Amino acid sequence: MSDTATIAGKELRSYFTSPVAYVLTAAFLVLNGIFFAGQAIGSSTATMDGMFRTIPVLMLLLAPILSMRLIAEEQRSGTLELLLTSPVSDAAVVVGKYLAVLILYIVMLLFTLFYGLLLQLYAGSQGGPIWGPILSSYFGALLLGGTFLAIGVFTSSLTDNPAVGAFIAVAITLALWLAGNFQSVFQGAFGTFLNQIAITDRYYNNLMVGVVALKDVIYYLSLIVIFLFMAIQSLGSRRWR
Amino acid sequence: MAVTQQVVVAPRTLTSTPETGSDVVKVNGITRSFGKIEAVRGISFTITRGEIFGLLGPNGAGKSTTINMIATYLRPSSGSISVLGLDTVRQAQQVKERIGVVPQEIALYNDLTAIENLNFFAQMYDLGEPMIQKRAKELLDLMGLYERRNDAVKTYSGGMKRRLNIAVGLMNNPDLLLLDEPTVGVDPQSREAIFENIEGLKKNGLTILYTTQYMEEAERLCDHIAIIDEGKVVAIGTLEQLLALRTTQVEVQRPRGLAEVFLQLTGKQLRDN
Repeated sequence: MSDTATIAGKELRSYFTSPVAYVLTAAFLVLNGIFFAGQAIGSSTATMDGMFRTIPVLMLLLAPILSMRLIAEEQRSGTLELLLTSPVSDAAVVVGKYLAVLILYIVMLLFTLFYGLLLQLYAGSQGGPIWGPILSSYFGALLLGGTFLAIGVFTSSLTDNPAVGAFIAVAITLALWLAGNFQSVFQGAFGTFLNQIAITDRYYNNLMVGVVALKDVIYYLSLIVIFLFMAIQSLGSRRWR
Repeated sequence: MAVTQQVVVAPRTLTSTPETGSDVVKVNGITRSFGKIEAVRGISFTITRGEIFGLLGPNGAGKSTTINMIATYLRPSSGSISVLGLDTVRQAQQVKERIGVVPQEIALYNDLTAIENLNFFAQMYDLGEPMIQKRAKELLDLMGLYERRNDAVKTYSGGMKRRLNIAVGLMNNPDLLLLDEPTVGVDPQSREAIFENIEGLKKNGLTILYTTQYMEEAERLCDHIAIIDEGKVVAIGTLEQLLALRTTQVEVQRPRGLAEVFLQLTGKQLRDN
């Protein structure tokens, strides 16, 4: 566990000692702010739906950028060889890096609470925002974004070229996103399966409207575990491939 | 004049009870393929405690693949390796705790300082903070980097990075240090400093596996040398034993130096792959 924390700490430090974290956080907040303001002002309602509808689209692009260098860069710089010949386990390397990028994402999300506070401040006299759906949306954004980041960590382990890793991450995420659209093409069990794995449906249809179902939570957590497990296997496979 | 290659120096006999005995590394008939390419084809040798063992070979001979297998970074396709009596596949975790690795390419975090790099890698070994601080200071002193300890590695010269990489490999006070061509791309002063450090480590009893393609390095540093080419050991022995190699030509010539022996054994064709 201490190895995981050490690796996570080093990665977080790397994020915050380079412009990457600041630029991406600023972009995340500005774009979310635009959609938040557009929805809230345009509809004259105390809602954050505009922002929450945008987060999956933003994370489709941001998650690969945030995660693409996590393992690929270690391969390119040669430090992965040092890490993997030290007593640290492959799982500690993968989980440590994942935790670092997840923490950065949580920090980004926390900043957006400011928009909720604005709603409370200016619309409080008219009842203010309904916090239940907002909090469940935050929870959904955490699960969905966490899944996108796990995909990014996995694809980063496949190559020593961060850009290639990011491209593959976008492709996998898009495939999971659009899977439900092909339900009508593939009838029967496979069509149902495609509908079940559609990665954003549970977010938009359930979590964003305040429905927190255990099966949805398990779905996202399962995807996170699966992609991190595949990243661990990918690292381990270097020893024999 | 064509030279017939001949291996005349047999590898030393393997013995048992390695943990308490003198053998630190036993490599038994290892092979390693990458797809259809056979990088290592049945290499065997033994490294005894306290010696510097050199793996000498041209580009693509299989030196780095061999050292990576000993370091547990790669698994042999066949054959076995034991380090301090531990199997590098089945007991990889225990092997890792007792070896230090200095890869061929400089492997450091450029945005971190020297002391941060040392601390980060040392924390993987659960040394404890007081020991890490003590060890880092000792090694930075040894490598002549203490004054620059708080500077980001990206501001270092190639030689300084090399020396720091060796310090990283020594942080866990290993029983076996694996040095993969540690003088590539360094200036003569840093090279000399690295040689002196390695000689000092040997005097302190550290066992070292050293790969190089430079004869003078092998001649100066190594107690035993294995010349490898195309994934095979073509000769193995002490420097004197290798210099005593004779060709099977009618007109017997005694090679004048290790470089000549090396070229006799490995040929003169360019190795661009």
